[in-house]
Amino acid sequence: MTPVLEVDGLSVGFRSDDGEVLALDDVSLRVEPGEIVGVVGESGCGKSTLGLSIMGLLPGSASVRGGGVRLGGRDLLTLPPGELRRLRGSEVGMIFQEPMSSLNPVMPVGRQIGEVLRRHRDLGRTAAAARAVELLDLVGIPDAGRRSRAYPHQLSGGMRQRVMIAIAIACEPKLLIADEPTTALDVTVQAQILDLLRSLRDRVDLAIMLITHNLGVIATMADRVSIMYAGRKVEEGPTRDILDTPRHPYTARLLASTPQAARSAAVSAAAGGPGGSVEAGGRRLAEIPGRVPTMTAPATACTFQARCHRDVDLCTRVRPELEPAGGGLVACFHPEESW
Amino acid sequence: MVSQQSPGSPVLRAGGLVKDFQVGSVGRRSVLRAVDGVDLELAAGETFGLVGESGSGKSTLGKVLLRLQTPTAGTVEFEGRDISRAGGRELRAVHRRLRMVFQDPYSSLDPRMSIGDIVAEPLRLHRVARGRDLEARVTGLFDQCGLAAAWRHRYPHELSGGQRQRVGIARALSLRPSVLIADEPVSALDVSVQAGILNLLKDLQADLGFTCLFISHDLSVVEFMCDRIAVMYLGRIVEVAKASELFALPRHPYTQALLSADPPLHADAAATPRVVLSGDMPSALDPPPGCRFHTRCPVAEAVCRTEDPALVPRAADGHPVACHLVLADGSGPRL
Repeated sequence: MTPVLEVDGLSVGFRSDDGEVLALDDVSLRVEPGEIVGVVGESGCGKSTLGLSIMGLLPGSASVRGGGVRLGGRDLLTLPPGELRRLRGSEVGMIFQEPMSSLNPVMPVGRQIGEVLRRHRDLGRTAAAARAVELLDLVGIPDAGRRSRAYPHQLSGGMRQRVMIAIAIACEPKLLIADEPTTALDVTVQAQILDLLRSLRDRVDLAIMLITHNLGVIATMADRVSIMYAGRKVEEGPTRDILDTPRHPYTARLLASTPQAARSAAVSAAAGGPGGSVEAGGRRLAEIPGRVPTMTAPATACTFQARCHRDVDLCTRVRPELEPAGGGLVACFHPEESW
Repeated sequence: MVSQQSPGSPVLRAGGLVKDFQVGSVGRRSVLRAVDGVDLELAAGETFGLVGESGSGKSTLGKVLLRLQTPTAGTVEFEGRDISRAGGRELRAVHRRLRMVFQDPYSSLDPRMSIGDIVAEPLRLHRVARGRDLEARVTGLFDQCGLAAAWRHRYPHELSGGQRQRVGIARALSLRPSVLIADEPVSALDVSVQAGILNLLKDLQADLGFTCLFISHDLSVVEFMCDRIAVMYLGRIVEVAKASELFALPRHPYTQALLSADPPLHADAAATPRVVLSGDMPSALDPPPGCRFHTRCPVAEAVCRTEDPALVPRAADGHPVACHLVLADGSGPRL
């Protein structure tokens, strides 16, 4: 089966006042049909740049330095702009954190969906309007006929994100790229949107690339997950394996720094199990000393080495590549093994 | 520092607190009741969490308690004195001992001041210290908050988000307040940076013994930080309990839904069934009659649509819950 998306060794640089900054350094990723793939990392890890590169939406200050992006077998980076525009929307859709900034504030939401259909699907005005109502219904907007005439500001944040999803899937793309789709939403509304995304995957076999900093969202949604750090993918595997038995020291420490880890450790300690990251009685979270480096050139050593508890000479001289470990891949000479 | 309060007596207390805002244009004015009759007490030294979603009124409640805003009705008592209507010199004195840490450490720090001056400013304004004493106090605060003394001449834009929040905390603690109100202090930070700030707040509280009102939408953060937690919905507190009790046995249907909507990291934690609420929180401009939550409650009955439930313990050993359907043994309704 052809993967929906294949990113192969992609590198993307940004021009800045201080010279070139490398946002993505040799990143590869595959998404199979109907699969939900999580991309996780903290600010500056390159996860949003990855999404924008796939959509061909990089800002002018950015340029692709190497590698390729194939969507349904076609190479996106060499496609002429006209064809790329056609592909965008019909083969792949994208939703963002803040739906309000992506919607036209002076056009009813039904018409905004209709525009997409008329452009990409050659539908007439009436047919497009009818299909827009169907789509609003599909994404769980009650009273879709009436709501299709509403303006974005008349809808709640959750409803606006549903409209964005309706626009993104209007032309039945095989892939949806969702960049922090629930970060601006309340937790009870987030649960509704995650349920919707999962049901779309099940009903229309939509593959989803879910970009987020929220490990809890990944835990409930993703089949597989990639962990990014300083522009590189450091670990990848089935979600359960990564969350329960992380192998890269960064992944392990990131998980240990969450308050949820303190909760599990407290429960485990109460049951006589190992204390995990929580110091006896004191209830402290694991911290990661130092800060993320800004990469100006392709890495020649481990990018996490300066913050890692293992002080090994090799890590400062040679860049670790992704190697099979357990059910996934990890880029570390000394992966965590004591599971 | 010796507290003027006898042990256990509340250091901050709200009684029947109401905050209204006038909204709309002339001729079409309406009243938005952001805080709707809140009673709460913070015991000296505790960390009290206020959780709720956007529009629940938690931030407004924080601002009224801090007296950045004047309550429409009800009282705020701080260290035994009614400060509901305090102004001028009296309020300035209150603000030496009741201080705030904000969500966005960038917009709350003056970009043209060095961080050393930012931390020193409250000490100067309130004429607490000067000269060499001032320098020593600032050095001590930098050290306590994990900021290198060499950074004193740096400006906010030269720091990372986590370091800026450390500056915000050092500034808030410079006058040795008895109560710190922290409104979403870590929600703008990455999770690994957040861990450092939460640890710092815990350490500082253990060392300095201040009382903390911790406002957050993030349930796991509140659980980690707080001794007691109040859950807010549409301007009301719907449940208040010890943190361990609230997370083990949430009673109010809204609390149950809120906890179940917070995605767990590990499969074993997923044993509790997920409750997905339908719809959005109603507008505070037009709150529903009866129980504020009945429009989204999966188990609401006729009484919930007409009668407003009081926040009271529903069983002998139970914590206060504002729900008609809590059973006689104190357990909440099954969703």
